[in-house]
Amino acid sequence: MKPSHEEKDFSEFSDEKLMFESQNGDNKAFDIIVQRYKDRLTNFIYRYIGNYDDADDIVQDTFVRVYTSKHLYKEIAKFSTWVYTIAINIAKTKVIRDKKVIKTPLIVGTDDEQWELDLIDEDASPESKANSMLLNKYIQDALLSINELYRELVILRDVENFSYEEIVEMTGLPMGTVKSRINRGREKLQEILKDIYKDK
Amino acid sequence: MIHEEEKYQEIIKQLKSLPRVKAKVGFEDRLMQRLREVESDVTHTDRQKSVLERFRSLFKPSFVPAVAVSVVLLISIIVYFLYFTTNKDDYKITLSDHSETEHTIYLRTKEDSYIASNNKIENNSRSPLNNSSNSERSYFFEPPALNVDRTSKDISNLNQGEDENQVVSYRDSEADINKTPKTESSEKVFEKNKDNDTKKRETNIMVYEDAIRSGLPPLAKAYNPVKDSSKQDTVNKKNKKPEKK
Repeated sequence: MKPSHEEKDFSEFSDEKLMFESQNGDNKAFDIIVQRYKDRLTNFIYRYIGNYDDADDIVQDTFVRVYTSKHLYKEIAKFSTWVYTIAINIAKTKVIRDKKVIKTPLIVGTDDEQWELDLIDEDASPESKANSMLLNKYIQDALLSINELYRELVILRDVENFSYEEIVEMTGLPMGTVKSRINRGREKLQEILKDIYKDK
Repeated sequence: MIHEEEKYQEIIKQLKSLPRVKAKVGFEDRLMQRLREVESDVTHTDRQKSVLERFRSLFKPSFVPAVAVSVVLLISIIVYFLYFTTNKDDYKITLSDHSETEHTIYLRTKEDSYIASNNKIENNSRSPLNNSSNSERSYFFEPPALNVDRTSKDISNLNQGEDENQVVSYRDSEADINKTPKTESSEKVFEKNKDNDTKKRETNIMVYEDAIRSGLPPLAKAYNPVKDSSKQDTVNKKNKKPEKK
């Protein structure tokens, strides 16, 4: 006997089509979207705000927002740009809120704990691991030290590999502004990290 | 742009080589839990809102300015339309029912042409009852030009002292002549002057001029009208003025 309800294979569906299915009440399509974007968004937000726990919260908030306002999504825009725009906005709100409230951490964690997230090569030698972790820490610190306006665009372009057109769509900024800010951000990063390049 | 990319090639390479941070373990479970909470919150708040609470939510302090402006506008519109319709009604009554509800007095000539009325709107108009034209312009028209009254014209001529040859017209209407009581003295004067037109005219003019100079206002008191006035209308002062003794 054939099953009355044939289960769809969502793995080959595009993001936009999955969102369409989700809008029609198919929660499995939404699960696929979460699986596809949870790591990408976590990486992006972590690079932007520099705190893993906060990044996790923001990504959770982003998916909740996507779920509750899924009816607002139209296929005119790419789903990736739409979901990244939501994540950026939530992250910016959090950054502004954190600037206003001076936090006193109850449990003070060491920076070493944070570094462990950046482990890249499990099979690498302990020495190269340590070097890689150190370098990643420097780059992350350099990213966090530059202006937020530059940081956001540099991460979108050079870490998340979005095209300039997609960044324009996400941020709503003119193309010239996007390009100049990205180059300005790179320049700032290069200035900060010039000692590392010299050592190399 | 390619040149720019090459310029920052090193930093771009470093950024791309940054390790990808993954989501926490159990991310999806926590997300599903949160979504369930959100859905239950939404349904719970919807159910809890009673009719009374929804009615109360309409009367928020933030609505006060908007409501005040709306009320003022509404009152203004009502007052405006009330005033407008009242005027319109008055106008209608005046035009349509004036013969029954109002006493409008029309002045008319012997030829039955209306020259004026006591109606404010229809003043100096033709009779609205006989009005054949529908256009407002033809209905209301300028009042006829009135002749300068005799007394003021003569006084101005005499005061200026010019044009002694000017012809002065003394004409009383037939009705006035008939209304004037014929006294014995007037009859006598008429009989005396009947045969001698010239003498009569001279006398009349002298009487008239004396009356004006002495400041007596009504000319009719000094002048005794005659029935056959057509022959006595015009007097040439210069040609027939007697020498003053």
